[in-house]
Amino acid sequence: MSAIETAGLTKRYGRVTAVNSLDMTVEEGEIYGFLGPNGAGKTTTIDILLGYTRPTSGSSEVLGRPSEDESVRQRVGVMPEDFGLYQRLTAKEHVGFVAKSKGVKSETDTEEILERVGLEGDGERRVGGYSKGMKKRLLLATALVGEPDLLVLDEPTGGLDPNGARRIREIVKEENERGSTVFFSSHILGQVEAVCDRVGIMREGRTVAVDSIEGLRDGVDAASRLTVTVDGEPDVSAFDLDTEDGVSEVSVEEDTVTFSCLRPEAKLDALDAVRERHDVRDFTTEERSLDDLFAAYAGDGEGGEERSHTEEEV
Amino acid sequence: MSGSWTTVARKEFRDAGRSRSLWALTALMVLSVAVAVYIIGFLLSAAPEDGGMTGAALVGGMAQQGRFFITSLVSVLGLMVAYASIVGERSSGSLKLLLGLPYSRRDVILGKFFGRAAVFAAATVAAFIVGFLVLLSYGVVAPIDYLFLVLITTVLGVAYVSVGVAVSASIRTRSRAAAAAVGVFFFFKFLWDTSLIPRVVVYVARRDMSALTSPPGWYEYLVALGPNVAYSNLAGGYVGSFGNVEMFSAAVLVGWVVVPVFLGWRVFETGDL
Repeated sequence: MSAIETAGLTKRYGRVTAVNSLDMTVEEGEIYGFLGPNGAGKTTTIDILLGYTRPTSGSSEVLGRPSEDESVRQRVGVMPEDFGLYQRLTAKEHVGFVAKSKGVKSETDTEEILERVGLEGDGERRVGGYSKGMKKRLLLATALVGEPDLLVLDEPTGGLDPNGARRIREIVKEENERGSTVFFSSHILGQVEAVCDRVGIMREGRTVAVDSIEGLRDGVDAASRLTVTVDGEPDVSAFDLDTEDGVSEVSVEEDTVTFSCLRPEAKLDALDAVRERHDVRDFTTEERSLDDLFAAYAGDGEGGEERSHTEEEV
Repeated sequence: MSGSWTTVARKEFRDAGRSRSLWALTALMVLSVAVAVYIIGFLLSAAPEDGGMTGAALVGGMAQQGRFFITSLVSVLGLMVAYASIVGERSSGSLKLLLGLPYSRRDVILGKFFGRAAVFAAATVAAFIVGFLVLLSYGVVAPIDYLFLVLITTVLGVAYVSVGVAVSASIRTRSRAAAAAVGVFFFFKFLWDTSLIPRVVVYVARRDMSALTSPPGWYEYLVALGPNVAYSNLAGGYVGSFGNVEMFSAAVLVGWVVVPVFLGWRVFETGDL
């Protein structure tokens, strides 16, 4: 049985298709990184998985039960992205309420859970006075109540400082070792690459790649960029190279031509193609990082560098 | 055992019980009822020719003279207690926390309704206990009459809680839900209770101006469809006779408790968060 299984899952809002015929399988016991830029449809997918939103068509199952079946959520721990807490209740009351709701005896381990997420000593305070980071920690604490079989974490590291984010990744690993499946969504590759067994990249409502981190890395090692500087102005239409030749993109800027290559040998072919028509003055090659690859998949023109900046701000 | 609506109701009661604005409203209610009992008692003892100062007369006076006041206070308080119950959680995002737990939407609606109704009932009972103490100071007590008044006042308030929860479940933003709650209050207070809309209905049904001066037999029942009017009929009814209109009014009040929250659940059940 899979922990999460969707088939042909589609959600439309008017004319906008947020999730487009999504087929996704998350195996039991794995840590699945769910990546994609903001607006790719990740949160909508999670909303459907958790029964917050009804799909337009298609099916979604969680731990072998349809998403609309609320009883399955007894075995699921949830960290929604746009969450809120009860301002007038304390952290302990939150954990106690969640425990009671899930039919878990909480008396003994409320303290332990709060300590685990780094809220020791703050349990008696009302949440209204908490900082954003503390609220996120408390949300994680509520997700951990009752040793769930599946953790669904939507942007769990957003709004946390690097230490907090690291603590989350540690807890994710601990929970996975205990036997829990973890579904970890993020728009930042760096947040998931250290912990995930497999990564699915979502873009415009579809998954565009599903692979292990190693698999993605293999793809990256091969992928690279060739920049050639020539005398005069290069004629872009002359370079008739496409994906079959291992070239995904050709662009011209003043006296340089840039080839995005999918295979190492494609670089030589591309260089030969340029030399047939122009005097080559110089050329450089550049290996792409995993971040670049993610940016290419995510495909919204934002580079990996910009992403790591947002990581600090969020 | 997975989550049940009683757990939600208890959480609601605890959470809402810490709201300062609800405490302020409760204090207002306590003060209002105490002052109302005092003034009516004072008026009755100053005018002994109207039958004198008895417990029943005092409670009857409260029901008769105070009903505009009581229905206003109770509808405002009932709506205030409930209008944000669901839309507030929707806009803060805590609804995702709540529905991430093993609760159905029905559990959430029921828990909200009973939790908030309990908050309202607690405020009402507190107010009427203080009112009873003032009543004692006049030395006249009609406990059964008084209990009946407390009961129907609580039911009226719970009916408004039901309307408030329904509004809260079906409207997507907090400010619009607040506007809708205000609209409900004004609709009943100034369009229905003043007979404006019931008269329009009579005119449309009969196409005859004279029907307004001598309304048809069903007019009384039509007016009694409004919760405030139904309440007033009952408040007057126990002093006089308890006839068909009073029975109808009792059914109407119960309907206002049950139907809105049910409709709210239907809307909430199928919608996206």
